[in-house]
Amino acid sequence: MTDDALRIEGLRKRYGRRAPWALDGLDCRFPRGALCGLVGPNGAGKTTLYSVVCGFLPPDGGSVDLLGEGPFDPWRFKGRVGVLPQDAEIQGRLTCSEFLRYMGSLQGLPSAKARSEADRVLRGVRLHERQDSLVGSLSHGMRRRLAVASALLGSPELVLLDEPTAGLDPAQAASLRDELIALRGTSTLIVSSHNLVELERICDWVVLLEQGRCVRQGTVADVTGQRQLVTWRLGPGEVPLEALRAALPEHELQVPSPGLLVQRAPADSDLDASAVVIARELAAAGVGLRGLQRGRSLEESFLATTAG
Amino acid sequence: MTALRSLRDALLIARFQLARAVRTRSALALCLLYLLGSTGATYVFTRILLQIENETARVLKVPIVERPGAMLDTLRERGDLANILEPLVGREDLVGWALEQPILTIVHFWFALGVLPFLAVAVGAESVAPDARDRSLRFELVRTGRLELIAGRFLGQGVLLLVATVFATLGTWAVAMGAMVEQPAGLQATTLLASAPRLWLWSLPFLGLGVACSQLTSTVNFARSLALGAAVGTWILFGVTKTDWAQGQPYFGALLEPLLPQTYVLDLWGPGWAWAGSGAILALLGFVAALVTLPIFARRNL
Repeated sequence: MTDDALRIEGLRKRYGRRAPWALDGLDCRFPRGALCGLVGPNGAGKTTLYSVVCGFLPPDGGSVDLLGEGPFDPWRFKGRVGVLPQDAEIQGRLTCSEFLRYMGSLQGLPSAKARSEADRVLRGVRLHERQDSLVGSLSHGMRRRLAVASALLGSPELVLLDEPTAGLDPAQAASLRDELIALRGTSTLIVSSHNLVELERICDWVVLLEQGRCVRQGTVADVTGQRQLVTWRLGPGEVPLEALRAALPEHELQVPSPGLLVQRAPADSDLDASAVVIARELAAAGVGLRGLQRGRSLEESFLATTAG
Repeated sequence: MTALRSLRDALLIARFQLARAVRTRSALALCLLYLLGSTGATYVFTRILLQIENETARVLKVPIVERPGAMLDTLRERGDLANILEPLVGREDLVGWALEQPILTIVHFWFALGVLPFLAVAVGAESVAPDARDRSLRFELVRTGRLELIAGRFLGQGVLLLVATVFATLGTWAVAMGAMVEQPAGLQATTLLASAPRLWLWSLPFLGLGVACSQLTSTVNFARSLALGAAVGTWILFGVTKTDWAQGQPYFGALLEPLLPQTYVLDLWGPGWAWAGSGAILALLGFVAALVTLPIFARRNL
């Protein structure tokens, strides 16, 4: 058993011989049990990646290794992989419960288990009161939650959610986030979203895509530089830059504008210890401290890494 | 084990397909359309028959009748009808069997032989294309294979056609009871019901063509057009196999004829269970036809 729930190597896909590559030799990995974010601008290849991973679309090259057992096969991974496709509609003439029971049966659950699982996931996405409503009578947000519920049926080992909170109101989105967080550790979740604040809040691991390639991947702390980058917001006064550089010779220290000190620490350095040194030097120079921020936001990291 | 799992999935999908057809009322629409068609066709036949019988009665200076069928029964009893039919059908055993059937059963049979293929391709064309368009297929395809999906859709639509085929016999029976001279109700009902499975088997290759075309596109109307073209194409090819040129080719007819449903149509007539063998071939042809485009469907972005 590998440590990765999903490993992608050299994956290539394009829609037509003359079309640009939607996935251009993509290499990335998603650790088992983690709540992972998949981030990228429009056209970066997120939905294509989901489609190839789930077998909706054949790749032109490269490999996909799901749960350490090779590429997707509906029989081998029956009930072990849950998917929320981005644009897929649910048949409007079924009730929520009927749809989920059908999906449960199709993924191999016995009838009684399919029924109880349908109840469970409907409660999880707070649609239990609408279980007997026709899908066609639900709002867009409710249909989205129902589709998420179908991906969570039977507690699959790997869940891929393409824009799960798109079109949801803030309360619904928050409720869905809580549901996803509750699954951390039991299932591996891969969530694509343009809401980077949301991903930063819930994810352990993040993969940044641009033009079909992985431009950055790692833990959220690594990608946002929380272990290496500190921005100090200072009060009036001259920053004792020379004294600081002498005290922390391995650190890169800059004052890009008045009242701002940017510290880049070497990898594996003790940021807490260096913070004590900086605070002491600033106090000795009579410079007040107004605040500090470790790393950048995921959004800033994303913008800094990608062209956008 | 794998075959059993595949069968289980195909049956689940077929059941869902049927339930959806009932829920969307497309099953009701199909049944009513077919019922109205067969009722209308047999009723028109009775009106034409009445006119012919009464014209003949005027010529022969015998009393005219209000309900048709009496003169036909006389022709049948005297063997004159057999003399008319034998050159048309070309097989004495089939003529003998046909003359034992109530006349409206034969009319219903002929009507259905002509109409069912087109209903079947239309039903088949709706089996996959609309779900590819709204991508709802993805919910199923992450849980089962494409082969099972197509087999299930074919089965579901097939059962729907069987229900419609049985349902349509009601109309013909009602016409026979209401518009013809006294007909034995039981015999009329049993012969009509006995025709239903034969007609259904005849429709399956065309249903398969519809399902095959439905896998090629996300546009239902395009799938319907393709399937209609394919169905008409089978008649054209069948006609070609009967030409002198084709008869002169050593392999052309021998290879093509077994693949065309029209080759087996006459075998569906006749007494006993002699039709079952050809019926089984038609069912197999239907299933194979549904899978012909599977290699393309398997590569499609769904």
